[in-house]
Amino acid sequence: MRAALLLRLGQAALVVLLVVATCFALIRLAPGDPFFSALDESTVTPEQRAEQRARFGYDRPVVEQFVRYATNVARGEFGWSHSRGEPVSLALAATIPKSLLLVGTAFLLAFSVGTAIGAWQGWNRESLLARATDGVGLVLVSIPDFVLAVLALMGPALAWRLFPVGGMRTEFGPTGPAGVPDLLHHLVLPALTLAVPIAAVAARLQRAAMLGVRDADFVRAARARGASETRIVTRHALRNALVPVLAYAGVQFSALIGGVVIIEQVFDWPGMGRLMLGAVQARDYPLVAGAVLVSSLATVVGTMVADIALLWADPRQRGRP
Amino acid sequence: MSVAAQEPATDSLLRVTDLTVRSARVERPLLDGVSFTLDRGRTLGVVGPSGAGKSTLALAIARLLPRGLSVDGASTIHLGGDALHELDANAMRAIRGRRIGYVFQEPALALDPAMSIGRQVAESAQVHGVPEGEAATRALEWLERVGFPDARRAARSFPHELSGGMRQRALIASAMILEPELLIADEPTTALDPTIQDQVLDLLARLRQESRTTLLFISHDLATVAERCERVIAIERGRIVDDRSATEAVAAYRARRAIPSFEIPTPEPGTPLLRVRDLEVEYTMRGLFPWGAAATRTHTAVAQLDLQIARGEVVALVGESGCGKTSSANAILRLVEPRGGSVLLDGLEMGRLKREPLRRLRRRIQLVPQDAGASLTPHLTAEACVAEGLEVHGLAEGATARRKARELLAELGLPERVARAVPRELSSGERQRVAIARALAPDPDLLICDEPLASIDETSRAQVLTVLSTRRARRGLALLLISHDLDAVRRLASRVLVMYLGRVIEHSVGDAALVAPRMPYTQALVAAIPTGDPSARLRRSLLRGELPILSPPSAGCSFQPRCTHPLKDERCSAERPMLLPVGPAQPTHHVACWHALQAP
Amino acid sequence: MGRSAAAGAPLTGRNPRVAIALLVLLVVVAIAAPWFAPSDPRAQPDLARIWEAPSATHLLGTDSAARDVLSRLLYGSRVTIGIATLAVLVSLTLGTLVGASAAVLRGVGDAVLMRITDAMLAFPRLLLVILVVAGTGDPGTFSLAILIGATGWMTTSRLVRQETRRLLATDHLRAARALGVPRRRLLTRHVLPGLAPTLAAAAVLSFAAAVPLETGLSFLGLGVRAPFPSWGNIIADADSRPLAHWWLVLFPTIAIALTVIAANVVAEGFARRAREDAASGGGA
Repeated sequence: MRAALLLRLGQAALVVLLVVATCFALIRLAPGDPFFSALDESTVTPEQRAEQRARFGYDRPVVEQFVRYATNVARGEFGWSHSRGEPVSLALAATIPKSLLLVGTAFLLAFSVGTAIGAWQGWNRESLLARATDGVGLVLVSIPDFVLAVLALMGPALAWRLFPVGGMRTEFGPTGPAGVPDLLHHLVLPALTLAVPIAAVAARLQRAAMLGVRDADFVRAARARGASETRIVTRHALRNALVPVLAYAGVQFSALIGGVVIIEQVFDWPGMGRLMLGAVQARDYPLVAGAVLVSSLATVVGTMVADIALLWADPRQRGRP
Repeated sequence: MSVAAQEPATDSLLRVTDLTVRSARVERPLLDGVSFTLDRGRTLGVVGPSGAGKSTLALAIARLLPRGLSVDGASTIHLGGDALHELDANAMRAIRGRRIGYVFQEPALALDPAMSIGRQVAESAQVHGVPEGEAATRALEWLERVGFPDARRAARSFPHELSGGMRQRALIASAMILEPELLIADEPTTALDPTIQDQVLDLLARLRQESRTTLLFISHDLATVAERCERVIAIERGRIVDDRSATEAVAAYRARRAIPSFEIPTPEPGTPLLRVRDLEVEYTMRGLFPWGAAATRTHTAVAQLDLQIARGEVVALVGESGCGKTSSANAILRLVEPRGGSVLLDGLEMGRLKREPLRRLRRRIQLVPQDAGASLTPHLTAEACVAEGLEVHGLAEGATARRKARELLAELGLPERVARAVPRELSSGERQRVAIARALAPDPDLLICDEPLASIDETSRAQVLTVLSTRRARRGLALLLISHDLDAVRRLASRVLVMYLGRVIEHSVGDAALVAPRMPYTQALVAAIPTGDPSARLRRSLLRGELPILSPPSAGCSFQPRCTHPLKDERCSAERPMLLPVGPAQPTHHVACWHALQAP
Repeated sequence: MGRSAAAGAPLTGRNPRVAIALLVLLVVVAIAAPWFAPSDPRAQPDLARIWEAPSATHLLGTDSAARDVLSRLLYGSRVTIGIATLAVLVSLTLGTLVGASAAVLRGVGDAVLMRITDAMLAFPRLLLVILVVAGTGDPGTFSLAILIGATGWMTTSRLVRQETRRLLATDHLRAARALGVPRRRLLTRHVLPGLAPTLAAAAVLSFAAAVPLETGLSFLGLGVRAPFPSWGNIIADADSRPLAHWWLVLFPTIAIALTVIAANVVAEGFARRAREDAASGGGA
């Protein structure tokens, strides 16, 4: 077991390295000076430019540049954001918690509700309701998240006025603990919109897995011992059906983080995604690159956690890589 | 377990009348009007070909039928005084596990891979109200009773960490823990090797006697059933076709199964067709990390194999899984590269051939693999598969090849429709014969057959054997026969080799090795293979334990850890015994055991 | 266990005829757009008539620049489906190369290729594309398609690797070798045909993923840009009043949803066929 854990950690470390390298390569490959737009002579002093150049070793050989880049990243330095006049890391740090709130809520919703529904659908495959919800699930999986977001904006927000049209808080509204209900009110639509497609995918995966487990011999054997249906589902079926879902959790996580960008844009949520899009408009490349790097690293961590959870769920994996 | 020791029947425990089970998808009912009675304390065997409805019968009794199958209203099932067919779900649940125990066929599949063995065994007790602590204690007790040397350790293990035989023992423990009145065993040992099978069935018999359980034993193998049960019911296509005592059933079976005898030719003088010397096959398994000591583990599959086959001769290789027979076949055919030794076909060293000459040489030495069905390419028709044997060796092309293929298929008794069918549409017996046809198409000099008669029913068996022996007579086809079927081996083979853990441990010209085995392992193996006659069984338990999963001990006799021969001593663990003649009067019977040699 | 009853069902199962028909129809519409469209998608006949609801003259209304939405939708289908198709070709080729190589190489080569795949998978796909687009400015339709393809080969490579590994280890391959079948014929006759269902499933799956990606990018203004039409930028054109300009949202939504749903159904059908073939043919 320990060996398998170490192996997972080692693999994750390797992937992190490759991610940083890819980012570095993409930055280097972009035409022009990657760290400064040619238009911003006025906002950046020659001293700052020279300092950034030195720090990132701009005139040095490529390998050394990469090493510097990697060590800088490890220390939390991602360069200078000229559009915001502050280090990239500070700009990111301000927005990460807000995105985290959104992503975290969506993740919890998506996986808990999604797997529950999927498990029920798989176990009760013949029921009419299960089949109907299966069709709904197919539609939800297929609608892109930005479409869902716009629809959510049109319906519940604008037409029915159930939720605010955007933003994280009401302007000049209460802050601190008193402002929490207001925050939650603003959180609902974006979190739901982000969660629904992911939940639909999780449900389909779980449904397929449950279908496979439902007719398995060991389920029948448990029944032959006199176990009740509830016990069979909770103690035997679920644990085994979780395995395929966890295997795909990493990809789902990636989709979640990608989706955040669009959701934040549509709902005007002041998170890292919206920051990134703004940076694209302003040609603030270091900020864009920094945001992408942070998102990717988050995905790696999420995938690794899912892999470790997989070790718990499927004892067969503990002995081999 | 002798029949005479049974108690007189007190009452009928299980009474099934007019049991009919239908499926929504198939016209013919899976079970049609099945009726029988099973008295308390007795044993009843249910035999029949695959698809006959035996498992359906067992599942119907325990009301475990899958969705889509329904039991007719007129059918009744009585367990003691209770009408099972009328009970509601909760009442039935209370009966399952407590009054009816069920042992499934594939222990690998019947155990939850994510739950430890101990918890699964304890679960059987827990779901019937036994408190957790007591259930755990009982589970440990039963794990010991079924033969786990370290019950605590076993309880903590997961199914994938145990071998097939141990898994089945665990399943039996979970079925017996509440000492049910009726035990249904559905092909409990079919997936296991003969010696392991024997051990597990002995265990079942012992437990049965201790707890006075009534046994319903299902199997496709009449011989096994007849040795363990007093009465036998035969089912075919959902109906009972026979219901009599075991001894009567076996006599009829023997009569049907008789293999026509073929004369065993004397080996031709001169260069033998196949000469294998000192063959060694090793498998390397990669460890977790690609560096360091744990990087690779080598497992010796075959060691020091010497073998010789003359034209027209039949040599048999006998042994259980893991003994190296399949690896030997693969190495001889050069499908895997042996680590050492030489293989000479007609004096030609196969190891020195380059790729294309080796490929051409394959025309002369062909293989009928063990799982023939899986060896046929799924999207090719039978005709195409067989024709390919001709095409790739330039013996025929296109329409001619297909015509010859059809002829060959007909020779093996396969009807027209088989030629145009894909493997998915054929029965396992038909697939087996297609594989044989494919191997015979290029007219080889030597045919290596891995359990060729296993899935074939009696009528076709005769046909296949006729084809093989005709080829032998007319074209000098030689056979390397790998098989458990001692009857067939005794009738066909002019020489027998017995393998254990990669080494030949006994061999003889003629069937001396099987008729009068000297090596303890061979004796146990021969004893374990069911012949249908309980009183004829050699009831010596000459081995214990399971086949080791890792490599055998590097010094001494590889069988020694499991051997219980009375004369076993330190020499057995220190020195590996050599193959020596059993005695001066038997120069053609060799055995590798320090204590099996006749006193001079 | 027998084949499920849904095996031949037209809507689901192995042969999703309805969905396939729908996809074919979409491709036909895309190709034949110029013949169906009432006007040039970029034409601005009457600049006063911006943001007009559907009417007799403009069946699906007009957008912010007084262009006919129906025409833009039809021409947009060319763009969206064209980009998605090209992207699929790229990702299918890359994915098959990587996956098959990994399966054949085994050992260290396999591990390296798989870690690279993992690393690429770590990037949220949308962000990766945005990163490249940000660095290079407006990529143009062709480059956009290549870019989308180049970021989507990973799932295909995993599928291909798994399936190739299985195919290389089948009993029937070994038996064919024992028969004396030469290498080339082994590959073409005994290995590759087994790969077909998986490749088909992977291709359609890629398509189903490419469409939301391209339309999403166009929606954000980073993909297909004005004045060229794409289903995504038509929706974006509703700007800050999506409810008021509902026709700009509804019709592209229906188009996108139908396309992706059809693709998903077809992909699931192919995947089921691949699974069933693996179970009944080459394995147990």
